[in-house]
Amino acid sequence: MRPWAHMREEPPPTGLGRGWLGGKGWAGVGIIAAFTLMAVFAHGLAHYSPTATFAAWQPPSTAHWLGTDDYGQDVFSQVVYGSRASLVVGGLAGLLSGVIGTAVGLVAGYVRGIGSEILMRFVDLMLVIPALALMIIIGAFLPSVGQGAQILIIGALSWLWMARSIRSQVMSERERGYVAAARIVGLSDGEIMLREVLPNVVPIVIANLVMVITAAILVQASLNFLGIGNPATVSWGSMLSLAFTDDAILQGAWWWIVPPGICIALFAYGFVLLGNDVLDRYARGREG
Amino acid sequence: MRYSARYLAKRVGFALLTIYLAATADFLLPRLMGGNPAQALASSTGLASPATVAAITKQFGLSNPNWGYQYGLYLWQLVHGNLGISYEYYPSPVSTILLRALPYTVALVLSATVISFAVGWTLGMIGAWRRGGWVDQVGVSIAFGFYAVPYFWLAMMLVFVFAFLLGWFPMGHALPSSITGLTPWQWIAGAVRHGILPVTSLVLTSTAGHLLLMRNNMLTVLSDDYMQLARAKGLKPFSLMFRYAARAAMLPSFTGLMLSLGNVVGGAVVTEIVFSYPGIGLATYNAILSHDYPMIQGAFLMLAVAVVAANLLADLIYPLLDPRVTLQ
Amino acid sequence: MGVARTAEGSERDTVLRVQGLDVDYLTERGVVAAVRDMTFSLRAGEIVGIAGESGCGKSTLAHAVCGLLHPPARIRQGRIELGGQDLVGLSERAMRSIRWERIAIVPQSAMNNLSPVLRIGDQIADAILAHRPSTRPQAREKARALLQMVGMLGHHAASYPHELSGGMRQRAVIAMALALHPEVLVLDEPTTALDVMVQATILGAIRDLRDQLGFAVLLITHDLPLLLQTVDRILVMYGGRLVESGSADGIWRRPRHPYTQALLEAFPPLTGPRRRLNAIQGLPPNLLQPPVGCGFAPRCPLTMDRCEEQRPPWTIQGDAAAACWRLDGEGEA
Repeated sequence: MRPWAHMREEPPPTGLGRGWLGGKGWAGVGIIAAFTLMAVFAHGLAHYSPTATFAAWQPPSTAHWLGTDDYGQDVFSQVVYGSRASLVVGGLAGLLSGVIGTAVGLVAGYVRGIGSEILMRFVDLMLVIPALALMIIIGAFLPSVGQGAQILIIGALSWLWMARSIRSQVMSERERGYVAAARIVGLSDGEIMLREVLPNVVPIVIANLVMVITAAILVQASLNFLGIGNPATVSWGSMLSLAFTDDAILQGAWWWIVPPGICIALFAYGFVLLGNDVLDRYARGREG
Repeated sequence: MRYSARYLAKRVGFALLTIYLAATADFLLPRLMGGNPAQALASSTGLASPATVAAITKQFGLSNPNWGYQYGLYLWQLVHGNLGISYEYYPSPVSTILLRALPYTVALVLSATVISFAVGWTLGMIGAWRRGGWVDQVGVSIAFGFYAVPYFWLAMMLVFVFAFLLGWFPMGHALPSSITGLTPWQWIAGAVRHGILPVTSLVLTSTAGHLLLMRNNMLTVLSDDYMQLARAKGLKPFSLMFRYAARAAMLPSFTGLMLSLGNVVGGAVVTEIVFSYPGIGLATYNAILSHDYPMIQGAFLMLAVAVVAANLLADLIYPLLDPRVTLQ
Repeated sequence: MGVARTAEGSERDTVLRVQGLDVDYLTERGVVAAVRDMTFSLRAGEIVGIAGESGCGKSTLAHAVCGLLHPPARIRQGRIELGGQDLVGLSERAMRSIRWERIAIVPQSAMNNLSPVLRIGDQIADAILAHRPSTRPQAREKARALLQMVGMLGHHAASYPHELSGGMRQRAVIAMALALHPEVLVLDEPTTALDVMVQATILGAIRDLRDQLGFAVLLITHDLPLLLQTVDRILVMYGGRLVESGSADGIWRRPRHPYTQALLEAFPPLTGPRRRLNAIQGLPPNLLQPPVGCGFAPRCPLTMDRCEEQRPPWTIQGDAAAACWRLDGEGEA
C-alpha cells in the first residue's frame, strides 16, 4: 500500500456512467458532425454561389442572412462553403500529423538506443523554433499554396508535441507485463508495437489527434489570414483576411467579421471537447 | 553558483545547434520550395539599379549555382550579422529594419507571457486546491473556450468593439502619432494605451495552456506524500498551498512557459498585423505582400534566435529555482 | 465487548487511550470495516508495537489516532483520549493545534515525505513556527539542534532532501516529529525501504530518544520479529481487529493466536537475511463483508467448526490476551 493512499480523494463519480463518451464528448461530436454536414451539403444549404455578387456592404437581411462583403458576395454562402476548407485541410493535416506523431512516438518510446535518443533531441530542437514562422517561410516561397500544399505544410510540422506525449506513454507501457509476455511468446518488436502496445495507447492517440486537428484548423486559418493560401478558395481564414485588408472594421461590417470567427472557434472547440473527454475517461479508467 | 560546467555547455550547445538548424532551414527551404534567389532579385521591382543587383549577387554568390558555395557564403555573412538587403526598403539592410522592429515584438510577447503566466498560474493553483470548485470549473471552461479562438480573430473583435465602437483604445500602432513634445510619462502612457488591446488578445488565448499545466502539476503535487506530512505538522492552508504545493508545482510549469514562447510568438505575428503594431510580425506580413524575400528569411531567423535566447535564459534561471537540477 | 481488555497500567500515567474504535471507509462499493472495536492504551514512556499484514487496519489506526483521517475514511464510534481529552469529533483547527504539540507521526516511507524544494532545516522550522511564536532564525537554530539530537550534523539543516540518504531523511523526519516534544510519537512502518543495518540504528536511536525525552511510542509494522527486539508490548491486528496482545517476551515465547504464530514464522529474525520464509497461505478477509466468526479461520491450520460461526471471545491469560476459540476455557475472563 502506498503511504497515505487511503487518505486520497476518491475519483469523482462520473454521473453519466462509464460509457465510451460523456456529455461533453458527445457535444463535441455533435458540433463536428454539424459542420461536416454543412460542408457536405453546402450546395443545398447556401442560398447563392459563394462568388456571386450583389450590392456591396449590405447588412443582414432576409435576402442575405449575413449580409454581403465589399465585393457584394453573400457572407452566409461563403461561410457555408468555407467549412469545406477547414474540414478538408484541418482534418487531413491533423490526420497526417497524427500518423507521423504516433509512428515517431511509438518507435522512439519502444526502441531504446542512440537512434531514438537523437530523434527525440531533434523533436525538442524543432519544438523551440516557432512553427508558424517556419510555415510562413515555406508558404511564402512556394509559387502557389493550394489545399494539398497547406495540408502537407501543416501536417509535416504539427506532430512534435504529439510524438512526445505518445512516447512517454509508450515508455511506461513497455514496462508492463503484457509486453514481456509478448516477447517471451516470440513476437517481433514490430508486431509488439503495432498489435500490443498501440491498442493500449489508443485513447492517448485519439486525445492527441483531436488536439492536433484543433491546432491544424487554427493554423490553417492563420496562414490564410496571412495571405498564404489560394485566394480563389473560400475559407473562413481567407474571409477574415479579406475583411481585415478591406477595412470591414472601419465600415462597421460586423456581419462579415463575426460569423467566420465564430465558426472557426466553434469547430475547433468541438474537437477540444471531444479530446478532453477521451483523456478524462482514460485517466479515470487508469485510476480506479 | 549552482551551475556545473557540463550543464552550461549542454544548454549553450543546444541553443547554438538550434540556431544553426534554423539558419540552415532558412537557407534551404526557399530553394527547396522552388524559389531562385537570383531570379527573385533580378525581377524585384524595388531595386532600381542593375549595379546593386550585381553587388548583392556577388556578396551572396548567387551567380554560382552550387548550393554548397552559396551556403558557405550565407553562413559567412550571417556570422557577420548580415541578413541581406531588403528589396522593399532598398538600400536598408534587413537586419537594421528588423532590429528596429524587434523591441516591439519582444515587449508584446514578454508582457503577454508574464501576464498570462501569472493569471494562469493563479487560477490553476486555486482551481487544483479547490478541485471542482467554481474557480476551477469557470477557469477551465473559459480557458478552453479561448484556446479554440484564433488569435487574429480575437484581435479583430477587440479592435472592433473597444477601439471602433467604444473608442476606448486606439485602433492600432504602438505609439501616439506625434511623439514630439511629450513628457516621458505621456510617452509611457501612450505606449501602454496602445499596447493594452494587443497584449489582451494574446493573454486571453495563451492563458489556457499555463492554467492547465499548473493545475495538473498542482494536482500531482497535492497527492504527493510530503503534502500530507506538511499538513500533519500543523501548517495553515494558506502556507500549505503557497510554500509547499505551489512552490513545487511551479517548477515544471516554468519549463512549459518557455516552450510556449514559440506559440506566443506565432500569435504575436498575426496580432501585430491586426493592430498595425510595428514589430517583426507586421514586417513579415508586409514582406509577404511585397515579395521581399530577404526580409521574410531574416524575420524568421530573428524570431527563432529570440525564442532560442529566451529558452537559454530560462535554462539558466531554472537551476536557481530548482535545487535538484545540477546535482541529479 | 469489555472495556478493560489489555493489561492496564496505573490510570495516572496513561497518555493515550483508545476505546471501542471503529473506522469505516465509505466507498462506491460499500462500507469497508477498516478498524473494529479497537481498544488499547499507552503509558508514558512505553513503546507499544502494532503488527499485522498490510490491509489489517494498522495504518488507518495510526492516522485515526493522529486525527489525520479524511473522507472517505470516517470514525464510526469510539474514543481516542490523549491525556484525558477525547480527540474524536474535534474540529480540523483544534486538531491542528494539538497534533505535533502532543502527538506527532512519522509517516510511512518518511524519506519521501519531505518537500524536494525546501531545505531540511526550513521544513522542520515550519513545524515549529506553525505552533510557537518564534522567528525563523530561532526556529532554524532549533532545527539544527534537533538534527544533532537524532544523530545528524547541524549543517544538514541546509541540505535538500535529495542530497541525503534514505536513512538520513528518515532521521530528519523523526527530528521534525520531535520538534515540539510530543507526549506520543506514532511511527508508521518506519523502517520499510531501509536496509537492515539502518533499520537497527534507527530503532536504536528511537529507544535512546525515548529514554532521554520520555515520550511514548506507537510503532506500527508488518514485521513482527522486528517488534520483538524493540518494543515493550505488542498488539497484533488482523482484519481490522485486535487478535492478541502481550509483552514482547511473552509473544516470542508463547504466541497464543495461530495468526501470531504464522506471523512469527513468516519473517526471519532481524539479523538474518530479509526474505520470507513461510508466507501465510490465503488472503486476508474482505472487509466489505466482514466475517461473522474469526476472520482468520479460513487460513488457520487449527480451525474448528465454531471458528467460522462465532467470533472468539477476548481471553485474558496473565499479562497476555488473545481472541481465539482454542483458548476458550483456559482463560480467566
